Amino acid sequence: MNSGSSDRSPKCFLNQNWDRSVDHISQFGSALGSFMSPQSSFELERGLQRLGHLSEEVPPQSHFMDSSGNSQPWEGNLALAHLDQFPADPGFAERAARFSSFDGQSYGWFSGQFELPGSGKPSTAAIIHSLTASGLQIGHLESNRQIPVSNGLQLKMNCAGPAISREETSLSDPIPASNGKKRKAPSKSKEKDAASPKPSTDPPKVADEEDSDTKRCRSSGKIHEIGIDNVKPKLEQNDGARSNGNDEQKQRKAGNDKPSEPPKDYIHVRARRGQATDSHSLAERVCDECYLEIQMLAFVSVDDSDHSSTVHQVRREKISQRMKLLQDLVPGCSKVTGKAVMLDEIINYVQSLQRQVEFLSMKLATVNPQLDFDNLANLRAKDICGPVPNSAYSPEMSMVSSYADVPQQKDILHSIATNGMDFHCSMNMLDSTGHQDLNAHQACLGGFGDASSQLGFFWEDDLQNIVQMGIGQDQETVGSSHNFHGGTSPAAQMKIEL
Amino acid sequence: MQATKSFERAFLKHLLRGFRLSAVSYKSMSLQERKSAIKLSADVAMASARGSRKWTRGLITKLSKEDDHRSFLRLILGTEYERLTKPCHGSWKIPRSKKIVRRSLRVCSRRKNNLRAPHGVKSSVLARTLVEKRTHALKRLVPGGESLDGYSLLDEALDYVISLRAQVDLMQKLLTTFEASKLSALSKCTLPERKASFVGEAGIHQQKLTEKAQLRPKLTL
Repeated sequence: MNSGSSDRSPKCFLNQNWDRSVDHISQFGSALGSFMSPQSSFELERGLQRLGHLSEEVPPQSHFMDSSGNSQPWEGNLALAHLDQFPADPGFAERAARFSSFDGQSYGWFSGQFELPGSGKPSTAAIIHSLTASGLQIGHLESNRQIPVSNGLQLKMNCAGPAISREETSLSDPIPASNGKKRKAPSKSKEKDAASPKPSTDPPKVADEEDSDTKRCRSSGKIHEIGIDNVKPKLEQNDGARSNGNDEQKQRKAGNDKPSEPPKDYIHVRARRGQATDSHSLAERVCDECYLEIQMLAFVSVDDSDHSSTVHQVRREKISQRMKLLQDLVPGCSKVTGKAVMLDEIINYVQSLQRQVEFLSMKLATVNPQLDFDNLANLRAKDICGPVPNSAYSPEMSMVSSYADVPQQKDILHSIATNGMDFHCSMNMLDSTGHQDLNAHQACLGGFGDASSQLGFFWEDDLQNIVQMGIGQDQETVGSSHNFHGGTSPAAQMKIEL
Repeated sequence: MQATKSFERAFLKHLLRGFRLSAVSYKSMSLQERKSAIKLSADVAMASARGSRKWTRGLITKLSKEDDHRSFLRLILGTEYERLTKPCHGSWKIPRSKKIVRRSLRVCSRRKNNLRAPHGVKSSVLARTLVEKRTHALKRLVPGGESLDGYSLLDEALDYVISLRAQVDLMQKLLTTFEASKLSALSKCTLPERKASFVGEAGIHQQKLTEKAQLRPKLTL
């Protein structure tokens, strides 16, 4: 049965991904069209799309007042259908207001939005029924709660569209706030200016103003994202069909009337965004990706009772969990969100790590030929992987012992000769952190080390010490700095003695 | 996230073993060959130390594509080699020509774009393409990632990144150890021999050594 099938489809398209929503919408529209007038089926479809996308402003009440007898207000009614479900819900306004701060909790709002239609499982007939029954009531309701509700709705949509690009905001800036609509800045940091003003409770404004509003709204929204594009042809068709002299609201709701501006703006925006993506502007990518991500997340977080959405939800959670882990892993990714940017960072990091491996293997290749593999065999895995924490000296001992015939280095440490010490220590101090510097340090140590054989051994041990400390800790720089301190303090003492 | 100590130990063990095994012909090899041998040892060590994961399998499969590597791999891995190269169910890669796939994707996307009336570039499609492009790039980077879906790809990438980081750390430590041991070996020599060997070696630190050695006479009492 039609209503049955159409009963499923709203839920379906609410739950599916964006790119399938269009199909469902069209299905739904066509299904409903059978028991509605063709014209109103268009509107119904549009209204449903709007409902689905939540990209529409709440149609103004005046809509109801004007054309109660008409089949025209269908779309408006349907757009308000879900609002209807919170019958005079006093909590709704508060909820909407509460959720108006988008901080990642939009999911709840979305689910809240959708759950009523979903949970109630209203058939389209029921929706229509209740609408007609309480159409004016809704109008009333709306007029009372216009601002908070639409605020919430609008904000949601604004927030749902993430960092709306500057181009878009520049477009939306001229949108007359003079309508008396307040525009709350979205709370999310990434949010640029709220793109679209809230719908006004005011009686239909001048058509131009309204139209320009909607146009701007359209163009400025990433809100009119996926599917609106598909909707557009129908909308435009419809607008063409209807006389423009009718309700401005209707035109407004119809959305993309084609004055020259919005398409131009729209294209303008798109072109800019296209350019930006070409040049890999981070902001643009953040925009797109966050938007897409949020859309998908919003969609997925619908209606827990539906099995597919829970599956999606779980999958989504897993993916976001993994993304978070990767975020921690990849350096410099804490502030970045959005899939494409994160993936980009991950790719760069993996590439850099692979290049590092290549480079290190090249370096090892230069070092290796001179190596005596006996020594290599003596290197125990434990030595290199890090000492047991409590005994910092044991790996040193083992390392040193592998090089054999070394007297107790501790004594030698204390019996430092003066020759070369000052220079050496100053060199130490000059040497800052860094791998190469460590080598240089070792080098100069080695260079100084042969004043006497004992001193040489000392330096060798000191070298081992340093190397071991360097190796034993995760950061060689820390180790070397330790040794600097360790090395310089006796040296400082020596200086004082001198 | 850190790689475990046991992983690092196993890694190093395999690495050293690999070095020793491949070092037989070290003297005769050129730099490039040495480098690739070292890299091979490192990769194999990493894969074997990690155990059985999608990317390790992919890596070993990729490495064993060349015949000369295969014997080396068998030596290192022993019995594990057969186990690791056995394709597991999930990652059965359907053999397909990349060109055909790419062409079909292009046709599909073009068809999709044509169906929707020309509206300029759509951000959704853009965003999706971006993500897809990057996913493909990541798939190419992570060994064995071609046949993974989004979530497992991320999972494997995570693991791979951790292992790569451990590999880099370990190789750096190894490098410093080698250089230290080399220097210590040098310091055991007498001075003239050392000077001679300095001349023979490349690298900045050797230059510094010579500088220090020249300066040294001034400072010794």
